Amino acid sequence: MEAMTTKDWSSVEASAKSTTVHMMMWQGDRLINKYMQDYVKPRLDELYDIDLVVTDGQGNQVVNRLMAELEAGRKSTELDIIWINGETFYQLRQINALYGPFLESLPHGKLIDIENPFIAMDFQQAIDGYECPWGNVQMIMIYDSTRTANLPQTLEQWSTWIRDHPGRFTWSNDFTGMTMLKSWLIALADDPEIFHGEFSEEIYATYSTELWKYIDDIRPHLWNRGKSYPSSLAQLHQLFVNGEVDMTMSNNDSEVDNKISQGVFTPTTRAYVPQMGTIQNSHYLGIPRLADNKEGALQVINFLLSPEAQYEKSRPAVWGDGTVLDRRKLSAEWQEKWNLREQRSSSPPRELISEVALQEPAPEYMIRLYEDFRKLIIEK
Amino acid sequence: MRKLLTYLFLCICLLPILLGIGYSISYSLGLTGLLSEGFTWAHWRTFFTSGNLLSSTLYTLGLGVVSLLIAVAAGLVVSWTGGRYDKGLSQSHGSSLSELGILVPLLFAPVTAAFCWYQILSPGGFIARLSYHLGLITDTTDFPRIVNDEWGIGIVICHVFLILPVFTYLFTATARKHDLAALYQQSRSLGSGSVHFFRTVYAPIVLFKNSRVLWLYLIFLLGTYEVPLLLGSSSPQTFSVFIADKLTKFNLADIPAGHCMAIWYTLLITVMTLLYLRWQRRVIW
Repeated sequence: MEAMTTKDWSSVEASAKSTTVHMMMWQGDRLINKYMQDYVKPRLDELYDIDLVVTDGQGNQVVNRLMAELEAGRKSTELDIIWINGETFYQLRQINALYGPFLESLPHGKLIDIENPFIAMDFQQAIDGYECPWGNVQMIMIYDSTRTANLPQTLEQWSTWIRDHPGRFTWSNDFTGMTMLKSWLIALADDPEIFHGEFSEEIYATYSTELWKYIDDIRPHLWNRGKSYPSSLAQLHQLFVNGEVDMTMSNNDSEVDNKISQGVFTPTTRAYVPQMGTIQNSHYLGIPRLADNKEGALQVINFLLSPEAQYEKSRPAVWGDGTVLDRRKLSAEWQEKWNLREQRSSSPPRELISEVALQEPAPEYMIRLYEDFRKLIIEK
Repeated sequence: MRKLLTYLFLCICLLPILLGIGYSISYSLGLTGLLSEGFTWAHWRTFFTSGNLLSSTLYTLGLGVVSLLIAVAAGLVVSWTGGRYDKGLSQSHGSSLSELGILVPLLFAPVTAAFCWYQILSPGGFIARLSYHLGLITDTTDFPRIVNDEWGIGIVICHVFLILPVFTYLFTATARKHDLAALYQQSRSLGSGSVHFFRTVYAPIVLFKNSRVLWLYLIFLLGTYEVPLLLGSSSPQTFSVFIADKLTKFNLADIPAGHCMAIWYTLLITVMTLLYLRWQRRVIW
């Protein structure tokens, strides 16, 4: 199938009808899985007679699988849709594994808030129609309101807070932890905008040096005296729930409400975003270049972008994911529905935390931070 | 027929491994991979000079050997203690309740066992909470760090938990097969002491007869992934954690380093196995 920009949508619909679409996505959250199984699947079946098969896999698994298939010279892959974010997008573009551009061909694509840089840019990379925005989130810090008060708002306050609470703070040595370090890196600069655009060795060198010095200073007061760090966010959540640390974090600003409803966090758990800001980013849907059923994938993605599917996904009791649609472009009926929707109760409103949102810097910052954190802090 | 079976075995078991090693060698030399730019020694040069080679090798071998030694020592003592006065030992071939009981840890998958031990040994875990309520500690931070620690204590405990039942069962079966209980009674009647018998007869026979299994378990321990991932520290990393980290994290340019470590691991195991086989041949002949 040729890269689509002007293809007649009705022919896509006709080809997609009564087909099976395979989607690979992270399935580590019960509410997200429920949304896909109990809402998306039946609606796709009802509207388009499409059978959506969802399999588990994320970031590196997607990249490894597609890379192995490309290296083996395969002509097709069973994956039709993949759920990705910036660093995976960067890797998949590096190996030319994505199909596109296709975004403009989607009827619901016109509703996307494409003027919003947090949506149109993925880790400072123009999406160029090679991925479709699906949801938008912002990093939050999570604490138990009965245990923790005087929440740190700036790096100076973090330093003081960590010293006052020895052994009670750490971060995961994974995507989430590195996202927090990126927020700290940006906070060290007076102007966050210097991190916009392409990777700069000079900027990285300047501010990462300050960051390692900062971490070195607080390190003896971190959990396990900064000698080791949880390998995943799930492990960090476990430490928090066990009462070993006073804070955890998440890239999903609805995480607290979700986890409280699942009984993982206590009802007194709350989220906040420090004044120095945290990174806001979007997550996207891509179609592999070798996908067997590109028409089916386009139809499914178009549905996931619909006001109906986005509204359902945004409900706190369902998933609580931020929408990528520009609500001003919606019909009056949908706008009203959106305005009246229930709000989450344990995290600050999105509108409020968006005021201190930081843009994701280029992917090389993440790669370098991860490597240097290991070399200069963990292995030191 | 036998020849055919041998070829079939080689095709099913060895061919995929050889192909895998070939792929890793090729990747580490820049000869394959979507981002490769042609033949280069650069990945190997970086690998040999980075310090990861030495730290991962020492850490992995250390954890494997210490876990094995503790499990062997404990297995010997348990099988010896349980069997030496049992008159029925030499005749019994059935499975008693206690024998079935020692096999319970085998029901745990390594990842489940690692998670259980984490819940037991972490500063927020069962023992720490118990110590807190007993007034032995005043805060969870007072509890000694046994998991995610730099010495791998949690890993060793979990490894021993996983393999001790097998060793105990094997040692008991070996003692039974060679009627060591009867031999012990005879040596006692001739004036030999328990410790002397254990040191000069029981342990050498049991260990020698099971040396191949012990060897295989050492290799198993060197390759475990979930246990060091959950219970280990962030640095150093075992072979398996290092390889997975390089092959699956953010930097695609790091993939050759993962392949270098995989080749190094294969070479190390091959050399160690050859040395073991040589030792075994020498002892037998």
